[in-house]
Amino acid sequence: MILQMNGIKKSFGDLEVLKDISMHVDSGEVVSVIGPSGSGKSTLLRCATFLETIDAGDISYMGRSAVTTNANGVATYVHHAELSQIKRYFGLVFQQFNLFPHYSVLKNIMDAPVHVQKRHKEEVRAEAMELLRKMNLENRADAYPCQLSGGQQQRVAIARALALKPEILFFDEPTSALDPELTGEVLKVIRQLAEEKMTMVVVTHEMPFARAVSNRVIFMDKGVIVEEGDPEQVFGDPTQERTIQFLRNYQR
Amino acid sequence: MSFSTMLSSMGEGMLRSCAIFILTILFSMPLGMIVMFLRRSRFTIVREITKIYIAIMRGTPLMLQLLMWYFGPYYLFGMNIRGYRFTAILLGFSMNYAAYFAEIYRGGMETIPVGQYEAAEILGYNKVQTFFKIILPQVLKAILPSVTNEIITLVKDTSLAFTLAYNEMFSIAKQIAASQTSFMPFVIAGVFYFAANYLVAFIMERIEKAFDYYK
Ligand SMILES: Nc1ncnc2c1ncn2[C@@H]1O[C@H](COP(=O)(O)OP(=O)(O)OP(=O)(O)O)[C@@H](O)[C@H]1O
Ligand SMILES: [Mg+2]
Repeated sequence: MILQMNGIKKSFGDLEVLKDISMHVDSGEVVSVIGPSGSGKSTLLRCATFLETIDAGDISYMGRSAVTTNANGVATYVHHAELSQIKRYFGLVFQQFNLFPHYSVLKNIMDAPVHVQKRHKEEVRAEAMELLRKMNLENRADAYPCQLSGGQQQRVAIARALALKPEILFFDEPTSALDPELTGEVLKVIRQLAEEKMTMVVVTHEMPFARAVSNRVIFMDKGVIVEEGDPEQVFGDPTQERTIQFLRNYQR
Repeated sequence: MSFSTMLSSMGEGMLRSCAIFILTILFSMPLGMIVMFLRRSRFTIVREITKIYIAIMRGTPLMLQLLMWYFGPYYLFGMNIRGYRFTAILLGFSMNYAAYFAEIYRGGMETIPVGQYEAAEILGYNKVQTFFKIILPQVLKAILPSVTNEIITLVKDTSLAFTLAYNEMFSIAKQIAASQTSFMPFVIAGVFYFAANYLVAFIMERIEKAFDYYK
């Protein structure tokens, strides 16, 4: 098991955004998270990637515990050095790409492996070029993010995350900031990663994509997991009223 | 007094003006960085004290601040202020300009989207790497025009050192103008400040161009 989250609770002030969420991700699995706006999907990913601290619950990666909650309900994160180690297990692709604008495409991809993981530069360069080929961007290595389309930027962002060789990759609505005609090229890349058995959790509003690519679908609403299962079951034969409502609104 | 003697005695003043300028830049720009961090501290008390410091530096005339730095130690502590003149000038200028630079840096920091910090964190950069590799280069690009303005103001402000009777160029120009009843020293002074700022603008434009490769 790559990721295990148990009883996650998270509030912003009085607003309870995650109410006792539990989920797990196995190696090679592609899990889609769907749900209405404000249901807590982004918050769930941000808690899983430690961008937000949880109020209660347990999170572990590869069997290594990152945060635990004791009997008194106090969540405690492991010390900094251990947490840094655990952070290496995952990557995150943002809705807004968040590439570094002052770095070229190649440097965006190479910089963290070289300066964070302290790996050999030439080896990293070869891998980065290989990733760019995979993203169909091998001729844009020297371009700067501002010179690329949104779809190209997002593919660079995916390559940047993959260059660190994470065990699991999270995507938060990777195509929501893109013009409709550009979503296809990004989804294609994610689909290709799924075929290579990359473990992924994808928050998305692209229902046909979620149905086609995932091994499991999680439907969230108002901070709880309402329904979870095989995509054909969740999309084709949902059991919960809220899921049916949500999917009906989507068909329009 | 011949034109060339006038020039040579003013030349010495120019060197002193340049010394004030260069040393102030050297001290106030890094100091401004520290002040900016204090201004953004997570401790309210540190933030508030820094705010007061900045308010005083920006809210009172630099000329008055120079007088305080020079005569303050004497009136407050009875300190012997002989030989302290140049130090007082540097203190006055650096502390004042640090406040202005701090506010410029702070404005620049606020232009950086939070996503840049989050991406850096996810990629495993530590705090120091994040600041120096990811944030600072983008801040510098954002603040260059304001920094240019500030530096140009400093060139002209060096003339305020005459307040402490420091013989920089403007003081000498005034002395010569008075003793020779000549308007010429002021013309020379004007040309000097203008040329200095022309050079500053030229260099800064070059630096801005160097940052032009993105966005
Ligand atoms: N930092 C924050 N401070 C306060 N409230 C927040 C914060 N982040 C999220 N929220 C609130 O938490 C709720 C869930 O937000 P979240 O972004 O997780 O939803 P989402 O399911 O990702 O929605 P969307 O589909 O629109 O992206 C929302 O009501 C949002 O306003
Ligand atoms: Mg979201």
